[in-house]
Amino acid sequence: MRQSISNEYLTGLLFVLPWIAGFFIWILFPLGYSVYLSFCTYDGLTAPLWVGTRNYTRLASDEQFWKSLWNTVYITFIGVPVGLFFSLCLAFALNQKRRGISVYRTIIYLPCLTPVVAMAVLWMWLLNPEVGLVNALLRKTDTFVAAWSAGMLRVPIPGWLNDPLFSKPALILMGLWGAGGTMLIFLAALQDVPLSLFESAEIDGAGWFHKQLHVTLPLISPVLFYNILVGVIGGFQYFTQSYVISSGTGAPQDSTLFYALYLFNNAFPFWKMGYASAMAWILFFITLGISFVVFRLSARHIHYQGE
Amino acid sequence: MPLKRGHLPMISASAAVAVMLVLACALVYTFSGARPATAGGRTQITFWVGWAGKELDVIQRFVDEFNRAHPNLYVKTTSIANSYQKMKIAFAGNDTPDVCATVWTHELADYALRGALTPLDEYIAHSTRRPSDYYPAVWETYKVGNHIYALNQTMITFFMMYNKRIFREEGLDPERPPRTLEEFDDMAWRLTKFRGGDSKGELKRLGFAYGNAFIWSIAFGTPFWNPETRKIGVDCPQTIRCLKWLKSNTDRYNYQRLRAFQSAFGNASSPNNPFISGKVAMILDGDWYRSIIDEYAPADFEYGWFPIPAPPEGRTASTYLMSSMFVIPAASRHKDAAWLLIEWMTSAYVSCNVHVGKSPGGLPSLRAAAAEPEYREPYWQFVSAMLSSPNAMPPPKFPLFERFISDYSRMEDYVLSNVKKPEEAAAELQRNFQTEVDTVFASIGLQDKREK
Amino acid sequence: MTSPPAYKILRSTGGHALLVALSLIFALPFIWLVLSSLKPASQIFEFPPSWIPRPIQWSNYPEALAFIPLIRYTGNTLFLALSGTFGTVLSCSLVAYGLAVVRWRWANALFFVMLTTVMIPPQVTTIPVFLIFKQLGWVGTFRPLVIPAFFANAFFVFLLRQFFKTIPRDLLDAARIDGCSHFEVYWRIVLRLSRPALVVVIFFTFTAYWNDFMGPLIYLNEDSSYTLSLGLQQFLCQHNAKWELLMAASTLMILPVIILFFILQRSFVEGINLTGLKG
Repeated sequence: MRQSISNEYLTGLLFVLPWIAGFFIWILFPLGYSVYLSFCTYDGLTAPLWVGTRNYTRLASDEQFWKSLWNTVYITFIGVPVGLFFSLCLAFALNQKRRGISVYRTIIYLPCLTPVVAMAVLWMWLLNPEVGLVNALLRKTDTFVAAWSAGMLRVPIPGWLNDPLFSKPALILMGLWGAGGTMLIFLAALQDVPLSLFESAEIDGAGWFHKQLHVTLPLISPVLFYNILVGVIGGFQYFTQSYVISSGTGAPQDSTLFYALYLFNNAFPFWKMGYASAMAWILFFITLGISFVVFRLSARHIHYQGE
Repeated sequence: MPLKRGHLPMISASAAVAVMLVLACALVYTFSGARPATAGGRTQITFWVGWAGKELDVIQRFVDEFNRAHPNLYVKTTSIANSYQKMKIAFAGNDTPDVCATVWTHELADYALRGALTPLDEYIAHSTRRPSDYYPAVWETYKVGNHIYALNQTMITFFMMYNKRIFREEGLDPERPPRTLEEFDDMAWRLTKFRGGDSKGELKRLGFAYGNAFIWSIAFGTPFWNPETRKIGVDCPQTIRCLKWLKSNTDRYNYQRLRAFQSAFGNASSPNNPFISGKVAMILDGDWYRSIIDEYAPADFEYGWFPIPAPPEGRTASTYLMSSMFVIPAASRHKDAAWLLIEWMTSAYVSCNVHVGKSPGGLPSLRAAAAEPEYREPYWQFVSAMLSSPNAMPPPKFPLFERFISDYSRMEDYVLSNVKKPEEAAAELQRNFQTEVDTVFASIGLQDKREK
Repeated sequence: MTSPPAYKILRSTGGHALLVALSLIFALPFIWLVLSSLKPASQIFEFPPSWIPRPIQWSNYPEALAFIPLIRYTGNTLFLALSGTFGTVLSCSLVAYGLAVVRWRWANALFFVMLTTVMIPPQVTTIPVFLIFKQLGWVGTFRPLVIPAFFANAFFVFLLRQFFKTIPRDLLDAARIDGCSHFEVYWRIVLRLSRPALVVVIFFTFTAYWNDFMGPLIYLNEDSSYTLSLGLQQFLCQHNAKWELLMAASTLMILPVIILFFILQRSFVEGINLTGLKG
């Protein structure tokens, strides 16, 4: 084996070469350029002008920057776990040999394929405070609960996207429709769980839930780790839905102004590419820090068959 | 699964991978190249427009006419799909078309101040076009500093429209729209209907959907910009009066309820348009609304129009001008030909024939064209009067207008939802935005010095 | 623990009922899209909306097809999607193999560098990337859209690496000891055992290319090289938007992707039973 191990250097490099080449061609320069821009004022038209750390110091006193950061932390730490859990449940529900399971899978994945313009109309309607379906249901529940508790308990009827308190929960709720993508990755991972392991657990008389927790979860832990990390990165770059819903304004009262949206606004509509680059690098270090923590926490819990 | 265990030497295996990838890549590279331009020996002028679909077809007809008239030139139109992000990237990459019709009136200062556009003064001086051919306010929109940077076909003008049938139903004279701001507020309240007649209950119809602080601030007299001192003028009694007036009205209707009601408005370009469907009795919008009404309203839809009401100390008959415009980017390779195209596309003939539907989409900016018979009806006469008003206002000529508008509506949202006091919000906008503008001028100034 | 047949039937019907309920909720957006595509213009933005088109306007479909050069746009989109998917799957699986299976010192360090590159928001790299493609003279061609696919995408490399790592190491080592080269292990064992993961990558890449709007918008300047998602914009004139035709065209545009998904996910069921290999 000694011979082949020493050869592994070259082989490894050769396999990874496409990415390394790509890194030097399309990644290194844009990244370096954006570091440089983060110390400049740059509007996209005139040449960048070095201003030192001013972009970074201005960010510290930018009210919208902090708001957008808070909103993003909110969506990442509440929306992402909720979405992950939901997708995992869906994956379990769809990982069975049942008549018509292909159809169910396709349907659950459908919202990920439907164009956002068509979805937006539907969202706006479902969550409309006056005529929306969700509030109609809540009102019914309210009448029922109020009658049952003699008026002691009431169900809140939120203004959803019009209400700064409920606009983010509304977005999270809408995001659940797009759970199909993450579900698909989980589902692919569940295909790899060897049946033999299940069979031995069956003999031990373990219940379904017990089996999933102690047999399946460890086995798919590398993929769970992937989904968590990609979810966190995606949460910090949360953009499209808020852009569509508030047409880029972050209304009401900046409650849907997410980090990537504010960054985009600075980069394009506001002509502040340098400022946006500074924001990008701050985001980079935040994401890096959190990823590192996720790495550390999960190192103990990921079970690689290979190691 | 059977495994074949044939032995391949390491090098050939790795080579196989490399060859496969490179081959595939090369194949795709070859097939994804540029299609040769079909200009046939003519100079090709690239022309970007924001129009699409039927509107694009109409524009293309006039481009074709231009191509026939100029055997040595060939204009190639590209629709950039309503996205101005592509424009900004093209400008940043110095890869602009020769002409574009996609710079909006409020973006003009941003592009012009940064030297990204070709001044048209020389071309205009050598043409038959004269400033006096245009409405003065329109000519003003083309200008940044002392130069003309753009021309256009038709201008969007803002004013009020009202539904005559609802006026009649509520016992108001349909031929007498409100004249003062007070009268306007009273009528708006009177035209509002609640479910079950209870003013605490759900809204059924609005007299007017209060909002759009920016345009109302024009009527209230806010001096937005002083070009001499390069100071914005938002933190002033006029703005504060405007915000307080908006707030007292939205409080009367309850801001949350107002917003909830508005969120159920249909899309403007559809038969469910809230003005056409009678959900709102009076609107503040652009003259382009005419084409919406023609397209979607039932034949018996009766409507009238009136200038934006102003407080006694404000600006009477004020209006705001908006439009996409034709410009020649500084990096254009065929500027003279580009000018020929702009001259043709903004000519009186083209300006009054560009409409898609049966009626004109807007009043031509050239007065000679606006005098054509089809604009003799009262509606266009009124639009013409608005354009001639001394209080017709182009967007203020400071940079970062999009940022400004976004800040302005944030200020409005915060004030109306009772989070910030009008004084506090206006002072904050003034302070923050002034810093932004100062930064832009400082860096443009430094650039100029460095170039000299 | 033997379940009586009656209990089994009950559980199975209960399971179906749950799946049907879930499917109904998830099908809403699509049903909405299809019904909207059959509505007359007056009904599209009706508020509160009605589900059923009155009358059903089949003519939206032929009209939408006549509105844009559909065949040309479909051809362009297919070319981009197929070559992009091919390049992505090939390059990503190779790189992932190099990081997950080959034992060499830099593998983990490189992996971490790769992960960090996806943490920079794409908005700020758009302009520098554009500058590169402009230098290469590729603006206005398909190249900026497809060539980078051959240089691996960090997200998919990460995904495949995680999957490759779930393959039992003993199996791969045994193959190596039996004299298989790395390429053979990659091609004959790892790729075959990771079929569900590859299916996911193929599908995600294909849909991303199929629906991509920003990329083609920025890099394509010729009407003749436009893709479907750019073509859809043609329905949205400034003052005269044809929403019903847009909905019809969108329905047609996502149909092939739905069919593709339906076919691809079937290969999940055929799942690989590792026990057979080990034995």
